[in-house]
Amino acid sequence: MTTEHPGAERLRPTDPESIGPYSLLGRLGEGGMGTVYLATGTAGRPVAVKVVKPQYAVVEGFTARFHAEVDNARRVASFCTAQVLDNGNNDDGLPYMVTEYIPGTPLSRQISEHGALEPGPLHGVALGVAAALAAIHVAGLVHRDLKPANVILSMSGPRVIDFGISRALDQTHGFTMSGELIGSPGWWAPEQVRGLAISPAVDVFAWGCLVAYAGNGRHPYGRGDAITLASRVINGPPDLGTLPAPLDRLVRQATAMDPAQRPSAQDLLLSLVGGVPATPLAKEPENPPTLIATDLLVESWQPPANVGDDATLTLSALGVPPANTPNTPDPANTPNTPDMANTPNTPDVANTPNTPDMANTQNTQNTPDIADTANTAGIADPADTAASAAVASTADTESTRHHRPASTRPQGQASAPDTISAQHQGPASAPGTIDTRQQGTEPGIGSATRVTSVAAEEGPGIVEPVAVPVRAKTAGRRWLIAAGAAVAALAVTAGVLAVTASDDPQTPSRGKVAAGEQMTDVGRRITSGSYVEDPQLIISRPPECGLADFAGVVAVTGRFCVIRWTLLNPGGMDVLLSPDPLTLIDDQGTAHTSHASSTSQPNSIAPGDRIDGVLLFDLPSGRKPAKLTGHVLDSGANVEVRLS
Amino acid sequence: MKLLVALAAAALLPLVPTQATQATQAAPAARNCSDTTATSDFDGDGTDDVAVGDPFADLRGQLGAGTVQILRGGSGAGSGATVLGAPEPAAGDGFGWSVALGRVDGDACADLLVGAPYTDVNGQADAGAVYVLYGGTGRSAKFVATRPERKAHFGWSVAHSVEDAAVSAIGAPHQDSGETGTDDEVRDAGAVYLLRGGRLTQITQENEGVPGNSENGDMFGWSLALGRLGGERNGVDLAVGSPYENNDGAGRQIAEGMLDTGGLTVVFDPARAGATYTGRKWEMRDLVGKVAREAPGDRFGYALSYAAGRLAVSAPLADAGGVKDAGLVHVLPSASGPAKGDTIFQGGPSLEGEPGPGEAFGFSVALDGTGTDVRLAAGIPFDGPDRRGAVQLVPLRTPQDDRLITAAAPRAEDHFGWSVGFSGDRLVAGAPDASTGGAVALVGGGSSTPVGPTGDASADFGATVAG
Repeated sequence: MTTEHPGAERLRPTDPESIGPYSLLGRLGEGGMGTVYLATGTAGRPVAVKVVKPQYAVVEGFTARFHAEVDNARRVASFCTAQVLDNGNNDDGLPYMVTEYIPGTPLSRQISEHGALEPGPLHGVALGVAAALAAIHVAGLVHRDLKPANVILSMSGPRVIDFGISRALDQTHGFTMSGELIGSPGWWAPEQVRGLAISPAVDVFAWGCLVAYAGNGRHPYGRGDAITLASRVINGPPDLGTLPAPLDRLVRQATAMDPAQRPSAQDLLLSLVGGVPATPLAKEPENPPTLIATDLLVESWQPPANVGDDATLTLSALGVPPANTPNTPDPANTPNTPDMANTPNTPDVANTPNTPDMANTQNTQNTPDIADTANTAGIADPADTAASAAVASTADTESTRHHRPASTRPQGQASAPDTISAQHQGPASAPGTIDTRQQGTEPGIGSATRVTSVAAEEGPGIVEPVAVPVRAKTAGRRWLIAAGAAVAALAVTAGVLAVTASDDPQTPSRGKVAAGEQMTDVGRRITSGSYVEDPQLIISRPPECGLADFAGVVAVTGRFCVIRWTLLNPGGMDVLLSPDPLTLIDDQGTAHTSHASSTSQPNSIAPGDRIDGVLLFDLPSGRKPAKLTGHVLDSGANVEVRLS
Repeated sequence: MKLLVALAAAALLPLVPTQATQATQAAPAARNCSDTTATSDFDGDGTDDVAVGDPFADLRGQLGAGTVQILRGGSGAGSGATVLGAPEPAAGDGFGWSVALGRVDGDACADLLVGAPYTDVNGQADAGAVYVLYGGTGRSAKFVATRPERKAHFGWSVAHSVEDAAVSAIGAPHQDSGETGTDDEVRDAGAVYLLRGGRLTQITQENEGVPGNSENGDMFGWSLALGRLGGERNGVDLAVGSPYENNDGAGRQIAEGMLDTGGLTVVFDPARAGATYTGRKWEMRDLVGKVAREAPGDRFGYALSYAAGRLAVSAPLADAGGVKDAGLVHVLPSASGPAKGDTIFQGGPSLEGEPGPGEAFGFSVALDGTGTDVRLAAGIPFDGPDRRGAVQLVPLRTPQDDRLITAAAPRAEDHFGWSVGFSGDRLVAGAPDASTGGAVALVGGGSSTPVGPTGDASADFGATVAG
């Protein structure tokens, strides 16, 4: 039984019927290291099972490393990734891993069959993949094999698959020993080709190539065999073609030859989020991340027109009913529906206790794209009341039959203690997201905004974003607005933007920081490179605002805000500084250039030097400084300093 | 070669308590400097104290003048600290850039050396100053270089040894060598000043018997340690790190060879030497062997610490185990013998944790202990996926019993482990970029107590620690 899905083929006679508790349905693909099967678990939910080839498994220590790596990968929040669900050894002792099955079209196939993505979906892919990388990197992993074939365009947004085991592979067949490179030709970063140390920056490089590929429909390094491509990668910059702003700039930075010069995935995410017009900011100035996200929800993920039809073809063709599929008659694509926030908790939705087989027994109307909708829509832990409330109200707007697909996961997953929040007090558990929730419970904030709060809740529940698939049919084309990409991006972003709120250290003079208080970068050393080698910017005090005049100069527009800065060069090189002073973004998202009376920055900073100065901004009344942004160094990544 | 002997410019100035000090001294502090037995008891209450530097803190309206906070021994979090500053603070001095606790005067209370390397002196911008704050007395003394030089950053590093009637050392790594404007001028060659009995003596690589040459950007004096490293039995030897030195062979070269591999110099008994010193010098490859191939930018000599006859020297950007900029620490048993000692790095035998690119294991180091019972603390401030940081605590006798210590509630970009030190039986780790205004953790007795700064003028609390 073959289908339109490129990867889903009939099982071969040599294939087993099952692997562990998973009954195999078809083949999704075969790669260098193993075979991937489509399977169903005990709960009936379709999953992807990847089994390692015997030649790896016989290497001493490989199996242990494999499982250790998969255990790590299971900590990765499913921000635009295929969640890793399980791992084990099959009857032959070969290790396997189980992930969510993401119905959809691989980006590689999308491009080869339909050409370059339109700016809308392109932005969504860039954002979603950046969010996925941020989630992977924050868990301490590097994908190493990011390429279009590993990005699935699903109705709920782009999803990155096939991560988490490359390090186990690498340690087995280190390229210095076997000459084999982990990764795929044309998607290698220069340092991978050179055999240098691997860092998350290799994924960022691949992200840049991938976005350029998706935006232009051709590979930035052209075609050729592995040797040719490898040689091009180390000998010159990629041909990035024409990309819409801000992707052109971000992709250029991401594909810098020097890994240290590349932005992090979080930087990319921030830039992509920040590039969105922030019109609703005026209403809720005190919580920019939330509102930026609300905006994103309107703008973000539009799957390519053909994607929706593909989504469940595979499943239905293989005789697998999609998971829980509430049809959504009401588009309800209005993130800013005030009364949704006050929708009371609906017991029969999110609070339904673990009902493992619900997803498949319920409501299997075969709306093509729905399976994945369910996958992403309700993975909150019902024990978590806040999360439940969020999901409940969300679901309520669509369909109260919306059960909890998470319960179809292998037990232990949803309640596993090794969550992001427990082990990595990273983005997902950052107070900023808690703040998001608080915002979200107020009228006037969109449902999707509120739902992101799920990621913020403490406790043992899996921290995951919950997408709100709100759809409308327009002229035969499905528009998925406010889907996984945006929400996941937000969950990461809000964390990035507010990582620091802490109930510790205990500050005798200040006491505990109130939950939800926005944290700033005031008092932090900020660098766009290495703390050892590159200059550091320190804004040691909060801005001083409301000044009618400063040092004899009178404010014309409104009132002056004075921001004192220190620049320090702890390294051994003279470093050229950016000729352009930093820009101030106010609480309504408006950018302000600095006043002419600001300290002018010298051309360069010598080893050991410290330069102190002030930036002066003439702000209209009522505006407050939110952040500084711009370049400190002449060559270096964009820096952002949160001020409030 | 001319031996420059710097005269002490020590002016005994009263240590004026800051407002914050006054505000927090409501708690009774015993002033008994005659019979305290705690080795780092600054205030004379009988318990070991911790000094925490915040070089970017404001003080009395002076922005970035810098402060040092004394966390009183035996006090838990929340009991406040004593905030100390320069008697006449000026904006941007950077007081607290370096700190060391020792015994400078004759009483039993510990005294505090504090570097303020961005202090302007006699019109020379950022020439630098060092203060000695005499514990339990309220007195202080200010030291500057004999010929204060613009941007020499005197006080970038400080070290102290109670041995041999107390010896202190002060680094000025950006001090130039040779006459300015002449062919002899060597920028940022670096210098070290020995402080003993109120007198300053300058030592550079140009001194007779000091191995090496003053070359552009060596930054000799970046890091310092004092201890018994194989010189005379009762003497104190001086260890000097020059992490920006290039591996360029003998003689003087400019910007040649492998850049910034770094170097370590030990000068034997400098306080007893006459016009000629004796010393020994190492590059990383002399000691570390196969653990990390020497490569540009290793920064060997970035941080130093001494205890019980051993010297710890770090190379935080060494590619230990093949991982770029993962960092390593080498522990040298003696500077005079043939023994090369042990290299400690993540990913090495029996050590917990995995090396990560750019994590900079050994960004800060501290040794503590007696006899053969010595432990090493190595700061890894950029550890973890989000540079939350960690400290590896390694008992040298049983390295397999090491522990990887993180903040009790770590956050991204905290940079926990930016600084490390020991106070009594506690480990002190600084996280200057933790909110709000920085933090330190006091680790001991199976628990870790986070302590934030006192007052609201802090910006970089925990940048340096001493105990």
